[in-house]
Amino acid sequence: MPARGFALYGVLCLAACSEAAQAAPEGTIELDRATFEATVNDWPQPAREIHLPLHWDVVYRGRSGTARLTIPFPRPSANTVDEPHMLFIARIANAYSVELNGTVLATAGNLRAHGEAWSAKQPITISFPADLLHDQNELTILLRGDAGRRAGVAPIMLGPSRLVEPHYTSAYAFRVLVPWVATTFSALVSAFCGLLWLQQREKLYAWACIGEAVWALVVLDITMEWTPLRWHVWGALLFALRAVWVWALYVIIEQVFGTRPARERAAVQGLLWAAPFCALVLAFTGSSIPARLLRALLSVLSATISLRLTFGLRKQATTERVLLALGLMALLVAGVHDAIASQFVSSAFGELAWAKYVGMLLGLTIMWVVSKRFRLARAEALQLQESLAQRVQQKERELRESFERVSQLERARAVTAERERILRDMHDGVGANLATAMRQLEGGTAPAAEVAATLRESLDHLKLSIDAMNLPSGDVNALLASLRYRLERRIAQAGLTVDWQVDELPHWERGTDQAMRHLQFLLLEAISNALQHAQASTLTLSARSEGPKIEISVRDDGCGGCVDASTGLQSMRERAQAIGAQLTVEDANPGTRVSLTLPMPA
Amino acid sequence: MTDPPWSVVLLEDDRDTRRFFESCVRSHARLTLSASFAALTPARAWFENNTADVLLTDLALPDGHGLTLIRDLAQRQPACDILVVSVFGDEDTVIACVEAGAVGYIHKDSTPADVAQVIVDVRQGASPISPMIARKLLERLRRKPVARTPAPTGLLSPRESEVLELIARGYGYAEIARLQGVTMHTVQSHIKNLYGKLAVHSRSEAVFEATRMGLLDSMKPGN
Repeated sequence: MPARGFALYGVLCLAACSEAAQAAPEGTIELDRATFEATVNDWPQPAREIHLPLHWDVVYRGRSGTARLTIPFPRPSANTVDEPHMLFIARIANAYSVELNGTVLATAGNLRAHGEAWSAKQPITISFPADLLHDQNELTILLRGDAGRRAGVAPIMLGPSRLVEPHYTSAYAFRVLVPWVATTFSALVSAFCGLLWLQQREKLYAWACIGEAVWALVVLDITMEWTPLRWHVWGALLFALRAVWVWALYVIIEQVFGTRPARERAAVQGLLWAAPFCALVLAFTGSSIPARLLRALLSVLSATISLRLTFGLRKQATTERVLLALGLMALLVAGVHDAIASQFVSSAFGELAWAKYVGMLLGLTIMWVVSKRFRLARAEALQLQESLAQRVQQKERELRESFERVSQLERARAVTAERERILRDMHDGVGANLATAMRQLEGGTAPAAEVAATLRESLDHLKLSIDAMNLPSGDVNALLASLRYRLERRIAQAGLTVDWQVDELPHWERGTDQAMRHLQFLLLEAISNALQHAQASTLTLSARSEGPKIEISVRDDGCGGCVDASTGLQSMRERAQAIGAQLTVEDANPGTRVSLTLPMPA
Repeated sequence: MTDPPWSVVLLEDDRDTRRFFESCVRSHARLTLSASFAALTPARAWFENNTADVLLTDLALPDGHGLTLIRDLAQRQPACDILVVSVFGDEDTVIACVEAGAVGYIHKDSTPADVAQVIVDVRQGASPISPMIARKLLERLRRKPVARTPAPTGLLSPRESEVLELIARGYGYAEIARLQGVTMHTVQSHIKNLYGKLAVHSRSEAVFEATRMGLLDSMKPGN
């Protein structure tokens, strides 16, 4: 890319220098001597002989006026009567009227309206019949010159159309087509940078877009036959836009070379802030002095900066810095050339400004810098995205692991709770029974049947514990049935008959596993009491749902009054409280009734 | 009592328990002990050449699981009633055995009289059941009318269903008989019938599954 860039620079520089002075071809004549009578600020000036080109801004700097140019000339050598003839003027501005031997050949713009839109910047040809020519002829040009608008007349070529036309074509190509190409190129670079900016809001892209857009407009102005606004306003606007362009370029420089020294920055900013005021002065008073002063100062500053940057390359030279510095240096050279050509050298009128070519080079450089930045930024973004994706994965993994840990803890906690529950059950149930059996055996006094009964009780407890693990939550019917099934033999051995009055019960909403265990133990205690102490003959167990409640009662027909003595009563109360049930132990006369009301949610 | 006693075969690896059951069988006039084994293999070999009326078997045996013998025997000797020895009579174990072809279970801690009584009851057409098993059966039989399976609800007659529900609620055989106005024997035989249906059902379900998976296509007539 850099090598190609340099090659392009070379080609374009050659193109820029290619318009050499061309001698008038055989058969045509070049008119470059005129009698010049000007009226400047309504003051007639003395007539004088001049050489064309006439460069108004050089002769009457900062002033507007009108002029009459009288150009006598002999019959061209190759004049033939039957051949159409042609005048070719590379540039004639701003408004003009061309007369040949008293016949008006062409007019453009209003000769009296200073500052009107007509600008006349393209080469012209004027065809006329050959019989207008005599042996001695006089070409009269009336001209209106606006201050600072590059008014004037280039040397005139006159001759048969076939000989003159090629000159016009080539001049048109260089003066109109090439600027259009430059404009198009800058507009494309601007659009490119603008599109990049839409994707990545980078300062560099935005200013490259603005700078190139301004440059496109400034170059387009070179070929504009008329301006959209009156000259003072348009000129002021162009001037202000150039200031914007300078700032854009400065921002790009900072992006490529790093932040510039504070003083330099302040100087550039100060001058650029002055630009709008100069432009206003230009627009309202027509005075171009502040603008020209500002331009001169800016030129000096630009030259200084360009040189500093170029010398700074010795320390740290990257491709983009070298290219940009070269572009700036070329611009500096072109700027000096153009300034001299347009302001001071009368003979340079009509020559091409170099800046537009250099502007293309600079545009190329900027495009290259911008696209390189974009590539880098994109690569960075991709990398960032990738690392982001990795981080997300990492986080997900961590989250999964932590969830796993939490659920493990949860499981461990549940297992611990279950273990504690089983241990407590064993302690209260099987453990207690086994201890009793042990004491009975060790005492040696208890009959075998008694020991066996204790052990059976222990086994029953164990079975009830196992049932409790399998009981469906909230199924009180299942709980009661299992209780009866497990205790049936003991009840029978105690000589009791069972009166079973159990209805189909609704689901007990609060019947968690824990609550079911409490209920089971509570009823077991009640039944055990009846078996051991009551000396009853019938055990009645009834269960029915009464409205929103489940009512369970265990009733024996024994001696009664023995429940209070039971050590189990306290435990029953505690369990009833734990499940929010209402426990009543009352004398049923005969016997005892233990009633339990299970609360149901409304 | 002119009928010959029912022959009982015992399979139990714990020596004390085996002796306990042996004595239970011997002490009942209507029962006779044909053989007693401590492991699966000799028991299996014995059944190759012999038959019995009742097999009393433990499940966890040193050389295998009792379920395999139950499944085998239920197919080859359907006349033999199989009872499983269980410590807790927990419903999952019992239902698995019933589905394999057992007709009931005996608690390890039963009294000798109880053990003999259960065996005799089974021969006379009853089957032991607990409320928990009844509940589980109801749940199972009601739950799954899986598409195209032989409808399991069809297994239960309304009367059987009612019996199961009452058992699940804790009512005894006698109470149910009184509530339904039938003999206790009728109630008991419902249970045994039900167990039999369950075993057949579980086998037909296996066949259905096999058909569904295309395993039995080659066995269809015409193939």
